[in-house]
Amino acid sequence: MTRFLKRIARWLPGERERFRADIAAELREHIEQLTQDNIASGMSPQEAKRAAQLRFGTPDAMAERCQDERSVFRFEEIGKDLRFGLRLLRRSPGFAIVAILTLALGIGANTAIFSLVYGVLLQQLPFQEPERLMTARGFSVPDYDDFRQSMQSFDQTAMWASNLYTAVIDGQAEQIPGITATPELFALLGQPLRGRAFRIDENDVPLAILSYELWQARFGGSDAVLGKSIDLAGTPHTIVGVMPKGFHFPSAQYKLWVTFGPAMNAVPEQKQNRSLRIFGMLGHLRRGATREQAQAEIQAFAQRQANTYPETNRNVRFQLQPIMESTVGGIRPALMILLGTVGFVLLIACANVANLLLARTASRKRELAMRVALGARRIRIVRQLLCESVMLSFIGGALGLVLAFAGLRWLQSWQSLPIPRLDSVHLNWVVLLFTFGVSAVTGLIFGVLPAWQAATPDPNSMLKEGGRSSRSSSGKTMRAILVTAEIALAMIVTVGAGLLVKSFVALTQVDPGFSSEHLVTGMSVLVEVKPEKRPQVVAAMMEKISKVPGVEQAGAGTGMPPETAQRSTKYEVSGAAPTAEPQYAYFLAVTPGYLSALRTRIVAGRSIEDRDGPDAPKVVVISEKLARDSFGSRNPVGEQLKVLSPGQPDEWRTIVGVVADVRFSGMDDSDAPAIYTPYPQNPQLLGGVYLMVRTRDESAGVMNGIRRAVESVSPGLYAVKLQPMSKVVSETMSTPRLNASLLSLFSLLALVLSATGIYGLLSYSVSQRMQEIGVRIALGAKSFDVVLLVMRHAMFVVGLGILAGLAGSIAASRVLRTMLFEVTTTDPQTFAFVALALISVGLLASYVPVRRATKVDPMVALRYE
Amino acid sequence: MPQQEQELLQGTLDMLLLKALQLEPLHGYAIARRVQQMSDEVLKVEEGSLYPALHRIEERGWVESEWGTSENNRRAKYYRLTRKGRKQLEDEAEQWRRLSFAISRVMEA
Repeated sequence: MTRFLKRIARWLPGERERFRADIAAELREHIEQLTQDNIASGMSPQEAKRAAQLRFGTPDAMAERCQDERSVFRFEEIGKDLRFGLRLLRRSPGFAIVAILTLALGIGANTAIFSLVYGVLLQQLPFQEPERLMTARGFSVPDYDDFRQSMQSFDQTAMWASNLYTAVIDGQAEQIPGITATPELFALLGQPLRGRAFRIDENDVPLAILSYELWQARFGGSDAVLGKSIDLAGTPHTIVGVMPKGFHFPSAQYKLWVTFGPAMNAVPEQKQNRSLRIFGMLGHLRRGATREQAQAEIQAFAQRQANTYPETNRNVRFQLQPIMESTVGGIRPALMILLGTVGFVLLIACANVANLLLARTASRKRELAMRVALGARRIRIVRQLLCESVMLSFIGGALGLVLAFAGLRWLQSWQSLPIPRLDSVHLNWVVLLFTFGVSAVTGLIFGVLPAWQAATPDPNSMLKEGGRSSRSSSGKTMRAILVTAEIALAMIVTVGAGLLVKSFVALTQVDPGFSSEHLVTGMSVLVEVKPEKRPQVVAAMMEKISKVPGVEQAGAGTGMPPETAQRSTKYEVSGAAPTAEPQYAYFLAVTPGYLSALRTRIVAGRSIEDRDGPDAPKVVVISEKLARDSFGSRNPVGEQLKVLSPGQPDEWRTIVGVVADVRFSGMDDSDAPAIYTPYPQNPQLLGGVYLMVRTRDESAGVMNGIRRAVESVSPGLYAVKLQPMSKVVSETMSTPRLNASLLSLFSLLALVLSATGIYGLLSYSVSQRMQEIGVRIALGAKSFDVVLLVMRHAMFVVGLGILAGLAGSIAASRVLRTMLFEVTTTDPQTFAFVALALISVGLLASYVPVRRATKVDPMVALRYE
Repeated sequence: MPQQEQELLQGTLDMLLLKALQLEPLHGYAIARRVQQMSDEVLKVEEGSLYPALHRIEERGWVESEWGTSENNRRAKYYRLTRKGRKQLEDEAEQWRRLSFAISRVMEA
């Protein structure tokens, strides 16, 4: 035990002096005895003492040698090494700047992505017991009530739905996305920062709770907000609470929570409608229940409901997910790929700095050789060089930290990035620790190779004159290998970026079946209109909108391309053989103006027209895909089709036309057969229509005109989310765009670093071969020959790197499979392009060294040492 | 001196020091004297090698050090063999015996 304590005590400051004193005391006795011996053999006391002392050398040297025997890692020694390293760096600022910058970029990129991964994926949600919360969408109110009766895995549940509220604050009307929820929601998630949550008995009282952001932005963050009234959709709601900062449910775009009762009581039909499946459920697992049990329970529940209520629930399934999964699950693959990518970039940076260090230790060989010859232990030299490397790495890491956070701040300033929880990403201890760790490991990785190389030279040959020109061929090979590895890694990253970019471009070039030019979209909720009155209301809306100046064509329908169609249904066609599996198609009710506003091409027959009124013969228009699937090459016009959907009459309808396919399940999904029916013949809408308005331009004036037109039809009717279709389409592609952009950014970084590596390698190689080049020129070699000579080396390295990268890319790009659209993971065009890019990078990076080689003056070179 | 020879001598010196301490704890001067005596004045340990070696074998746990009073009533640091050190001494002595036996056979062949 005492030995252990003694060892620890060595790390305390002042150890050196203590040890010295110790040694001096220890030697005193020995010296005394020797002195006595010397006196005994005839020397004078003074001589005797001197002779004795001489045998020990200087006390300092003895202490030094004894201390050396003790251990290698002592604080003071390491401190000395660090200071020495710093001095060396100051003396070669060029090297220091390049190395530090390279490390900053590599470590910084890793810090940035790790912060994202930690803040978005790893950090727990700010709710009570978030790991026991599970959520499912697609519930209707009756289904939810049924579930609550029979549920066993949950001890508490809440129901919620999202809504876009037209709020009037201080006379200003604005649209705020919000959530209407049953009071249990806050018992499940957490209590407000100010004020209180809804009480169980307050379900029917119009109350509201604000998010922190809304409170700050619109109410000045003042405590006086409690008790104030806010007008939501025409009803005054009393504000009773404010949620803490960072609390978002279900995502950051929803800024307030409203009691459930008032909205439900305004349209009681919602409480019984089993087909109105717009509600979400949040549940807290009972103690002892597991996720799997809950998921099994809900599957069984769905099955029971399907059996009990076949018309409405036949194919209804609920997907129950832990709340973390439903919030961030979608972006996990992309973030993981980014993490891998920046890891590669860091390796490339390490290779670069290792190369720089190898070049530098080559020029320090004499200093190091001398130290070895004078008896320095190899471990000490390695330790000192490692200290220099790690110190370099920490400086680079600190700079990288700054860069990473500048980058993240910039990313956070973009409003509509498809990254959930982006606002909860910030600098914290975990990220700092990560950066520290990565810096240390990086320093060791790139430092160990040069350090070992430096410590094992043969002292004799290094001390000879002209030691500089002796080429350590193993060093050269090592450097070439590092650059080859860099190029291989850069290729893998760039191929990934290239595939994503190509995929994104393909996505933008998809023919969605409609034209988004000068098309304004919007939504109008008709839930509060009695079902039998809805066709009149829609007709009135169309009429009023058409009269707005700037409007060329007005349409409405129960679907909005490219991503939304409210219903799909089974169908059958007359005369067709029954298929093995039921056929499904999107089922939309539209006004005549809908398809023409979308400028969807009519392939055969006609579109929906005004003459298709409620009493006219029942007709439908089908999409091309459906025509092909059901009729092959026959002309479908005139054939009969029956819609097999609960609530739909069992009758045959005549197909009067075929239109081009319109995307309803995303730009990347072409499987969308659709059936269009005239609105008046199908009034059982789910209470909402999407407006498609072709306009002369997309100015705010026209959009306001449309909004006012809708509001003028009837009190309580609103048109919301008015925006150009181009914006809607662009948003559906925001995730692929983000992925492609980020990966391209890192690929660019990788290419720049590789270029630097090639440049460094070639530079060094040229300077080493100055003599040889001079001789060749003197012997008559032309510029071209010199160029070939130098380039051969470069191109060999690049070529080998590309080959190695090829294998790696083929393997690595498989992880991208799910993210690619119309591009295979081994797309030859992309691979060829990237290879070409790398060759160009190699050529570009070689330009300066090659030029230098050709400009060599033989006379100077031959004297070069 | 080439690196290798030094190392051989290092190990042998350590062994001799351990042997010197086999009977009783001694301080530095006495250890050197004992080795000299035991070798019939043939092996004279250099002070410059002695103390680093003592610290080395202490670091490796074969000896322990303790401050005490010398014969001349002065403070001196005494080194004592540990149990680990006794084992080490046995092992190294055996190795040495085998080595020297083998070398003798070669030289007398």
